Amino acid sequence: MLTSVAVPIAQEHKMLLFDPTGTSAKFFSPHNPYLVLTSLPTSGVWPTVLADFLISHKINKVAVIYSANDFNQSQAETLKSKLEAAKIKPVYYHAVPTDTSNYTVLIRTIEATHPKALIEFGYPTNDIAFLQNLQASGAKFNMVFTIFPGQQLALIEKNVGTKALEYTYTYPTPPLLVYNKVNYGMPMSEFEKIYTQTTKRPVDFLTVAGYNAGLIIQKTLATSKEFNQLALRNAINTFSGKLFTLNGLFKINNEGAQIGEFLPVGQFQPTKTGIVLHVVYPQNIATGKPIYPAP
Amino acid sequence: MSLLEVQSLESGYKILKVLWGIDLNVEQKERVILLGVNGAGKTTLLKAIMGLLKIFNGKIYFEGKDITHLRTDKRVKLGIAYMSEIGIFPNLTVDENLELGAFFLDSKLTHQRKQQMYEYFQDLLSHKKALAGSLSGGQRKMLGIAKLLMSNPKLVVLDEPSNGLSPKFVKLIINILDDLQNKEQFSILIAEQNIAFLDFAQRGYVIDNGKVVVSGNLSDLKSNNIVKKAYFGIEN
Amino acid sequence: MELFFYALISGILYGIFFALVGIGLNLIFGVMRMVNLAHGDFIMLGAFGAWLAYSKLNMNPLLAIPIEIFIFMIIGFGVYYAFVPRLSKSRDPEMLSFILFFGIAQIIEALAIFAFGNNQKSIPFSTLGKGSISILSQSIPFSWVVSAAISLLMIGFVYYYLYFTRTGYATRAIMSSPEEASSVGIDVSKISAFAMGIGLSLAAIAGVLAPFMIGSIDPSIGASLTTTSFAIVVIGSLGKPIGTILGGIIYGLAMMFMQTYLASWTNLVPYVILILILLVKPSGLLGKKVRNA
Repeated sequence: MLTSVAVPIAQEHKMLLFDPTGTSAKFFSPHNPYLVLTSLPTSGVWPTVLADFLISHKINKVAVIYSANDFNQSQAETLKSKLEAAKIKPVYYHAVPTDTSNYTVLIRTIEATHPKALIEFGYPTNDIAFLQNLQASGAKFNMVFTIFPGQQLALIEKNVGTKALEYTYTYPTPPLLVYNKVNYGMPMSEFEKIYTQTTKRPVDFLTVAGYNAGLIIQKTLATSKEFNQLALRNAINTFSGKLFTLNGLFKINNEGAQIGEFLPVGQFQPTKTGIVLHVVYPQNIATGKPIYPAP
Repeated sequence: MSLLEVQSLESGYKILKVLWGIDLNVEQKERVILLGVNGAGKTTLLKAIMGLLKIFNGKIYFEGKDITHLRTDKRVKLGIAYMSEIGIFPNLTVDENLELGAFFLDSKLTHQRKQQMYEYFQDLLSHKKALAGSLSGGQRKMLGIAKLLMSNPKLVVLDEPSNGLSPKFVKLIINILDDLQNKEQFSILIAEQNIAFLDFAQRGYVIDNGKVVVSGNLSDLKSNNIVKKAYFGIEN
Repeated sequence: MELFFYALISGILYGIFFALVGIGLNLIFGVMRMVNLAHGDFIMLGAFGAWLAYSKLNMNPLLAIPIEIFIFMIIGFGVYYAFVPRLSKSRDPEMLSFILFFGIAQIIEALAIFAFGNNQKSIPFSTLGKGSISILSQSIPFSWVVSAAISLLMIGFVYYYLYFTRTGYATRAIMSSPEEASSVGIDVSKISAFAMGIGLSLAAIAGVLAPFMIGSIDPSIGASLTTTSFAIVVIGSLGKPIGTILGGIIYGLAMMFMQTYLASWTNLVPYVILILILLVKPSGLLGKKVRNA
């Protein structure tokens, strides 16, 4: 929300803006050198791996429901075009208002199209309502995907309960996704230990993104030869693509957008003590096998 | 001691003064008429007596008790009943209207009074469950009067009961009031511009521009030039 | 056809709940001729009351209802005596009441953020009963049926109060004309304060059910609930509490049918209906022109 306001202000005043998690493609333009996104790729890129997962697992009846906003719509559109390129036409593809809080009837409508996977793109509020309604409706889908359990697990789990998350899919992000190759800053295990000790709060993705933004700014200041805005920006170019933090590879394009990270597909699988998020795709970083269809 | 005594009363709306020093009294069982053209201040005076308007100056006594600044509902409990030009609650049924007429009485007394009123006004009984707003003009006035008498008042204050009625109904209303007053012995203060009510009263006041211009008993009023001119269309 | 019946049944259940959401606003408007712009925020407070009962006291959230009725009655009396008599005496009571209640709404929301934080809170639907129930061979979440039943019960109480008790007659008399009402010996302030208490309590009860019907709650849900309530009330008939049932059901059905057949347009529905009704029948569907003279 704040990013959309900050971007033009920074450009107007020729001040370099570091943004931890702003993801809209609309923020970036070749004419604006005063913006650097430190975590998360632009939202349009997010479902790339998800689309590959669906295609490679021959899940050819896909229902997509998304909230009508830039963040969710860009993902829905990417997913749709990638699926259609593989000759998969979604059996249900609809936007709902972002403040939709009751999905019961929508879920029933989607159920009637008999999809093999149901993808819901929303903000945390939407995901909570969706997962709650899904559980209460008793409807069964082979695969259900939502965005935010992979980023704000504690919040979502507290609201919908562990049971509602079982066998659902999401984009795993740190700390649920651990990058072992770290050449700058603390690795996840160390950060998690120190952060929880100092703040008595659990680490979630936003904490990691905040720490990551701090790392990038620190590295920028250490690298830049001069203390002016464009010199700072140029300094970033010198280490972009070479820096590995607990949030993965830091790499930006010439517009300042993050292109180093990608979002894999994970599945919450039940264990004796609760649930664990396994990366199930792509295979080279997978920590488990997908359980499909969900029992 | 008068039942109602109004002394040098000044009142009006917010900052607009309408009444400029009214003196008026109503005795036990007396019928008093308040004459005046539209805008003379009749309704304002009645509302001031009921406590629906702010009193700027002067005093109001009821049975010797100073009620100048008493809240409306408390005046009603003392025994003053008021029928405005509307006189009923159009969105309530006939029965509910009567029930509210005796709002502060206990339910047994209310029930008795209601039976009494249905006896007086047989027509209302057949419309018991009808919305008051659906009644004809004449029926509405009947209901207004019945509602007024529900609380067994000592003084009834009526604002233009003839308003909007045909001469036939005006006559009927006068007969009913006459009959009921004989039976129940309440005092009446009635504001009217319809001269048909003059013979119903024993005494009267004529007000104009917020002041009493003439007062006295029936013959005084009838022989007064102002009254003659204004109400009988007779010049001298 | 299956979907049609599902939308129909859930629309009615959802609508009955939304009738409860709106009815308190309408009662207060009817009696005081003031639009309680903080209505949705009182619903939000009611919802957090249920959440506190469930998550901190391990109570069934429905048990919060009697406690909230008691608390919100007191708040209603407080709000009434603190503001309304003074507002009525002011030069422009309608406009000032808008500003006042808007301010109250902002204060409630800000305090709620202090107290509960900005994050979403929710109560598992299963606390109102697990699973679903079959109505006309459609399986409907049990929690919906329970919520709609409680809503109906509460609306029933309002109906009983207004049409079968003397205080209720007096309340309707005040709706018709406060001046006439005081002329039959009704203590207008006392009855109005009571109506304010009932109105806020109804909002709070709707709040208790909100986590099951609306979904997760947070301090900012108040404003949109006020708008929705207002639309429902106007669709039914402003100042006529029982008309709200019709308004609520029309709203519920429209929402559910739109979600089923034209999901992206759902949010426009209440306002389109509202505008249509204002154009065709400005007094609301149940509004009658009552001659007042």
